[in-house]
Amino acid sequence: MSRWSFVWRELGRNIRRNPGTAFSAVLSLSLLFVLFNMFWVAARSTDELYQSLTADMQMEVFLPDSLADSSIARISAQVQTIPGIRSSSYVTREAARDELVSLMGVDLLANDTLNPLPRSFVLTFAPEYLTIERLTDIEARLAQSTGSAQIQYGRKWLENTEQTRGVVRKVGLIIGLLILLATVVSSANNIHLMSRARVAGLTQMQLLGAGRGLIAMPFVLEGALIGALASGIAWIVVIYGRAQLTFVKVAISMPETEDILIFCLLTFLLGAISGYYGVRRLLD
Amino acid sequence: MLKAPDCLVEMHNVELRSDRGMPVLKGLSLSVEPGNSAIIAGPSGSGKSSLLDLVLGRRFAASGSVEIFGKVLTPRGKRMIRGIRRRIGGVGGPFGLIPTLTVADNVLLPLVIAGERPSMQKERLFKTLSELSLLSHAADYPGRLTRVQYTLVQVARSTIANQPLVLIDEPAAGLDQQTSTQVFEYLFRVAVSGRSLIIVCSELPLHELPNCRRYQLTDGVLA
Repeated sequence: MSRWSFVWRELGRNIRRNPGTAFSAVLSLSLLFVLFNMFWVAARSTDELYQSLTADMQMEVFLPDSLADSSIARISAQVQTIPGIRSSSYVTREAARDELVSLMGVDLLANDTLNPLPRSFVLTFAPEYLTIERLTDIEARLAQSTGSAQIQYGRKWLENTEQTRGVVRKVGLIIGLLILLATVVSSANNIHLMSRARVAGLTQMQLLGAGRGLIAMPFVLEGALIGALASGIAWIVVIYGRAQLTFVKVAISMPETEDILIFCLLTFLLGAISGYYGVRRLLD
Repeated sequence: MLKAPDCLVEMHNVELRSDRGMPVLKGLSLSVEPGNSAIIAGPSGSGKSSLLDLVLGRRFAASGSVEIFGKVLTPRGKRMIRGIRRRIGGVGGPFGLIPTLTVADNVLLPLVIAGERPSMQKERLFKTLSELSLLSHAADYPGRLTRVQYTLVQVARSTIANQPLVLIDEPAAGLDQQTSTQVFEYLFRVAVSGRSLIIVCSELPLHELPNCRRYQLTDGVLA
């Protein structure tokens, strides 16, 4: 029997002798992981909602009356060079008037000989530039290149949305970390209980000169397998639950398959670490 | 790698204290050369098990020197202690069999720990169990063995890896005369094979072992 054969057989013996403990360990970890997964999905969905809400955001740069029409082409070219601007469309005074008419349903300027409405550029942005910080920077550059004193966009709304997003992210991160910590503690505790039940055998192994690795490895593997299994079960529950939901108004964004697999691998490692910590005190 | 020492066990003027600071062993000097044995008798509480703990590196002397296979054992030398323990077999006392392993698996443990090839393990297991008439019990668990069989399995485990030193704690405790004689006959065979035995017991046995010195341990003092 090689050392690895001994380790796998010990693992099997541990589980066969304590099936109830192993089952409750898997169950408790699965519940924790279901909670974590739900927070993850909620965070992703919130993020995507935020992106969809901000995707159509536009900035209107009103041009000063003193600016000659012949300068428009030059200024348009300058505006296009600013990083982050996805599209730029020039709105003439007449187009602005037409838009006003379509909004109000009546031509409020019918009696005016001169069209007082300003010319403007309407800009849209690349998604990664839709933050307060970057838009403020773009606003400053636009003011410089166009000479405009009036640049309008939903700044207040964006500020509030970003703040809310930040809070949700922080809370989500804290809760996620707490759940993972609870997972490690729970797993380590389960392994510790199982190792305490076998303390006589572990003492014997030590008296025979067994190294820490040989003694600890069955418990490390046990923790790893329980972690991975619990993670797999949790994802099956969440994916099945998602498939059953048909009435949601908000789009639910599930993580990519790669990310799920990486998570399962991480829980495998986390389980291994907690398995070692569960048996560490009984070594030497 | 441990070089072949002049003495397997060499203790000189050892003093051992309990956790509360009470003296357990006082001025103890003992040396066991390869091929020689020692029987140490003493009443309960005289320090016999503590002496074995010193050899195994489970406890450390407050003063004096303890060398096992020519190496001084210290609390920091855990790796060295593990290496030394692999060369020591144990019967009785703290050397119980692991109840969740079969007889065969228990006996094989020293070879598994040493990383011996499975083919070699099989060969040695067969030889060892056959010599001790334990082959038919290979698949049994320790709970199903008689007292003598249990002791013999411990003897098998103590010799399968050619351990040069075997520690034996109360080999005949609770046994009748006939069974006790049986056990000592096996121990005699182990001693004759060139191994060194250190036997601790409450009374000096009637049985003789080759090249064996007898000691009396009273209140932590060896005479």
